[in-house]
Amino acid sequence: MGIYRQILVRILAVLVVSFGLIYISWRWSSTVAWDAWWISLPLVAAETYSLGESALYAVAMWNARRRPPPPPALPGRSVDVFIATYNEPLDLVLKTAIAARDMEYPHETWILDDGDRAEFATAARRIGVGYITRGPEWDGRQRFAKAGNVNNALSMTTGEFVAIFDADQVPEPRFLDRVLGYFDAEEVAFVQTPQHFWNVPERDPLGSQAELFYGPIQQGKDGWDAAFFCGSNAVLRREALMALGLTRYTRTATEQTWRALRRGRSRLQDLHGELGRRHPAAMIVAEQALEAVARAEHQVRRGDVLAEITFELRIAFHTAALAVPDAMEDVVPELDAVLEAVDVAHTDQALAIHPMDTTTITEDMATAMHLHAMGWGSVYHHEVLVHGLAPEDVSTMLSQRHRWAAGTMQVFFSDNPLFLRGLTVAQRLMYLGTMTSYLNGFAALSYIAAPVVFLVAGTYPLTASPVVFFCLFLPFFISCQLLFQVAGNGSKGLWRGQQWSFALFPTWIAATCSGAAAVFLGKHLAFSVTAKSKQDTGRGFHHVRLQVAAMALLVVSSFIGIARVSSGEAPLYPTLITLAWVVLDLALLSVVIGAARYRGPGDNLVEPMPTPQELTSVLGAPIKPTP
Amino acid sequence: MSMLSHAPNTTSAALKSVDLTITGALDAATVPAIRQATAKAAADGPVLVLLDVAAVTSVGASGVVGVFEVLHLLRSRGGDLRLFGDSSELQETRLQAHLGHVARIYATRQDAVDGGAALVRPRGLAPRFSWRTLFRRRHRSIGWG
Repeated sequence: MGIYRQILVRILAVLVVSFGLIYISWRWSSTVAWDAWWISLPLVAAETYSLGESALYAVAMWNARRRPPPPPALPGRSVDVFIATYNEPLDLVLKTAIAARDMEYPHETWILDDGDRAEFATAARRIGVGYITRGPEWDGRQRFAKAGNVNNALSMTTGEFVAIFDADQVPEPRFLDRVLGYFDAEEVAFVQTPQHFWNVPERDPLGSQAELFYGPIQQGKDGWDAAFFCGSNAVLRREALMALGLTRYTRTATEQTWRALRRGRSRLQDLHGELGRRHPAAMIVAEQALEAVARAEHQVRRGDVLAEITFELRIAFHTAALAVPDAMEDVVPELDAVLEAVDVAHTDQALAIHPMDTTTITEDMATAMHLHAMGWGSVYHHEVLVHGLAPEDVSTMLSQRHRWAAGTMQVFFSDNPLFLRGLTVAQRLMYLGTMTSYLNGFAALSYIAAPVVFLVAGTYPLTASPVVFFCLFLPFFISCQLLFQVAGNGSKGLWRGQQWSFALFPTWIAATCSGAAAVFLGKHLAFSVTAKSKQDTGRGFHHVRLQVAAMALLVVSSFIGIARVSSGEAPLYPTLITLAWVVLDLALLSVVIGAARYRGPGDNLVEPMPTPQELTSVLGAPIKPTP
Repeated sequence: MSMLSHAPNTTSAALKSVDLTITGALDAATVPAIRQATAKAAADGPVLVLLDVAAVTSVGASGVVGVFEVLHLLRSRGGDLRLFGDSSELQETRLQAHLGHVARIYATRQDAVDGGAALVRPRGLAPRFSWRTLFRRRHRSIGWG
């Protein structure tokens, strides 16, 4: 962003916040219709939320950073390139793997196959790349989806740097050369590059090309040293990831041991009761194990070394079990379970330490946030170096957005950036801005409900003179739009982005509820892998039925409102204002029509990375599974 | 995998012990050798691996994570890992400070075999939460020190 544009953005940012504060102060102090509080309060709350989001956007844009070309990559760095796959087809993964293998900077390429498919192992060998799948240590353990897949690969490789690509993200040969230079600065933990999708037509009906995010927004976050890691098209420093895993592990070790001991005591008490009925002679084993647990708890309270406490506990359990040999079958499984949960080496899991965050389904954002909290830096490199595939139908797109939103809200509720030690104020705001953007679903609901209520029932959601309202609202609204356009810096799809932000209100609400349920009720959040091929395209409208219903409601309400004005039941000017509001809502929601009717890209799109000849020969030859 | 059924003995001194030494850097590149040697040693039953770290000249987070993976491997097979030896580099990289309440580096091999017979209370290491520091810019500490 040039200096003049930056100055303009800052002026507009000040105007947005100033006009916004004036407007919202007036709204709260003078216009809340308390006799219709049930619609008036949600509306003013939604407006306050929107002001907050605008302010956070202004803060992000205040410091947008356009980096100069990076220094050349130093020779001699060791790099592992990971291509994460679960259920994607072989040809798609191989195409990415061949492109990754052919990157110019020396490196090792690995296919991380979470689907454990024998033909993938064979194909990987044929094209000369490594193949990693989960070992037996993962059987019956928590797998942690993509984060677990990457952590497993990290434990089996040694490169100083790790480049991560999704299975459908094909890198250019120069990718590593363009980004490795940033790591000359020791504090840089990761470099993120844009995600660009070549299978999206110009009109982008599904809003896939996030040019605003992979542009001004990432540049704004980068300006505050808070560029986001987005899970693919990025290079990370191994030491940073390991340091993060290690720090989290040691910080939580005492608490985890303590919790496991308490749970273990409870299990042993149950076992004791059960043995009383089934095998009274073996009760002594449970009693001695309980004594050992009490001793361990005392040692934890005293601050003894956890590795020694847990080893001593194992010896005590072992001694107790050996004392009554015929009780082994009854007691050993339970004692084992307690020991595994307590052990400081996390023997109840496949890995002792998880460098990538495994507590959420948006492991990328959570990992980046914790790296920033540790003082590591990040870089957003604004150059398209990878060409990927976007969802080609509305169903897949909605599923993908829901996963992003649910995972993000899971982090919001469980690991809120406002309370995470180590982040700067600006970094907290950058993360908060992204997380709270998904609360827009509730605001959108208010913005749809309020005009409907007024047009149908004549209930005023606010009490104000239309003239005063316009005088205070319009400067705020216009300055917001200007800031959005100017800071957007020519990015395509700004209006489309606003449309989807509003129209996806059911997805945002559902995702917020899922995230909250995962954190507060312990519900499982599934990591749904984005489908790489078109899904049930014939049922597009089914997936956006709530938005269509909202549009129908707005249209019917408008007719009712016009009828009420015609019959003199409703005042003219407030009704006209509300109809304008309805038009805006409909314009925003109308994006779902095109999305529901979308049948995928046409044949005129040219693939930027041509299919390598080698792929045909590898796929053409029969692939025998590796023994 | 049963941790109890693997262990035929009730004390660490009675476990079969294997001595390993690491010299130079403890990092991502050197840890695989320790893991391989450990896996080989533990293939036939639980073992106590005694890792001499006196000659370690530098420590990376990857190296420490690798050591924990070795501990994980051994413990899940009924064995244990003990580190011993005086290394000023380890002290300088604050390995002890960071891991002091999780694991211990014993002074001598015999102390490591006895493991925990003479417990000393480690330093209080966990940083305390304070509302006053919530919005203060934190002094940057790159890495895990």
